[in-house]
Amino acid sequence: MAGFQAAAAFAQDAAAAVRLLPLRFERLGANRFLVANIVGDLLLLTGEELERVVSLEIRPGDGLYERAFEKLLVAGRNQRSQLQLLALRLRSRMAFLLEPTALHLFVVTLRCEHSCPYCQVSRRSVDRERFDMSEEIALRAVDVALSAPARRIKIEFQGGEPLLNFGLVRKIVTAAQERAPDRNKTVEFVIASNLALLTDDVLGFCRDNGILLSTSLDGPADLHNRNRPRPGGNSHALAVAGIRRA
Amino acid sequence: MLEILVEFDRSTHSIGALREAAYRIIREASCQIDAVGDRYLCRLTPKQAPVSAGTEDLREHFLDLVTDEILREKVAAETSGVRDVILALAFGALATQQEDARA
Repeated sequence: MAGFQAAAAFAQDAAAAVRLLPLRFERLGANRFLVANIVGDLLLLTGEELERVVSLEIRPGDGLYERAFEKLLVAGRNQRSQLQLLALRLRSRMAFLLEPTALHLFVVTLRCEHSCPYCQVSRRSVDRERFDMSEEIALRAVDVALSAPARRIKIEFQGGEPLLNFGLVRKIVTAAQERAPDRNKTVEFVIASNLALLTDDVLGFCRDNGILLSTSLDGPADLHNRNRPRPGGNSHALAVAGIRRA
Repeated sequence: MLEILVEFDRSTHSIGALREAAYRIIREASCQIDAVGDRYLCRLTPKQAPVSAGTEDLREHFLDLVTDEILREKVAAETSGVRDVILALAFGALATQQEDARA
């Protein structure tokens, strides 16, 4: 009577039938890695486990094979369904790319009184007002934003430090609120600020117009102040004070 | 000024991996990479003077970073084809739609 072969007889075929899928990893410690597949599912592995997955030294039943398979780090070489599943999830994650944006960023100035070394903006010093957005451009940009198909439009003020050109922020908010109803739009506003220049006047205008403030704390004072140098070296204290006031 | 020298075989280590590792360690040390014969010489200059065991720790940290980068290169090389397939499955239909819309 014919019987089944032992599991080991299938091991080599099983390994050959598996392929590695795109993944990223970061070392969390001496022997601890955070591994992500192409759609961001996460798995913690030891260094030895990560090497085994990448080298496909895994076998059905060894536990690691099942974990890697479940997290779509590996797939059957001849199985298209796993690739289609990843593609479907990737497309879902990126679905926002198909829609016209509802978010419009207004860089009202390139000036900033901070000089953060990592900043991606071509920052200009505070006294160079020619690096402010003009009122004419701002009001035209309001029309562009309100012409977007989305019914709810969000306008986010960035910089530089947008509070250095708060007069223009006021004009944009006022213009957008006046023009939005005719176009059957609602508009939300956000100011991305380091809060160092926050005043009662600014806070009052934000409160009266439902404007949200967005800010960042990089961590404790020493880290924040090192990341975000400004005259006086007090960016952390000002940010914390601003958060409390807001 | 303290300098830590770490050597790599050019036949087994890419300059790209060393550059990525140099960037990742930039907060703790500056790294100058020189190609000398069949070796890459990485000169690490700590941003702060390390305490006694710190020199070896920094060297080990850099070696770990280089090892990780080499593994990333291997993963990228072995998965670039299937990555393109997944992207084509995910977004290929969009290209067709756009072409249809233009036609």
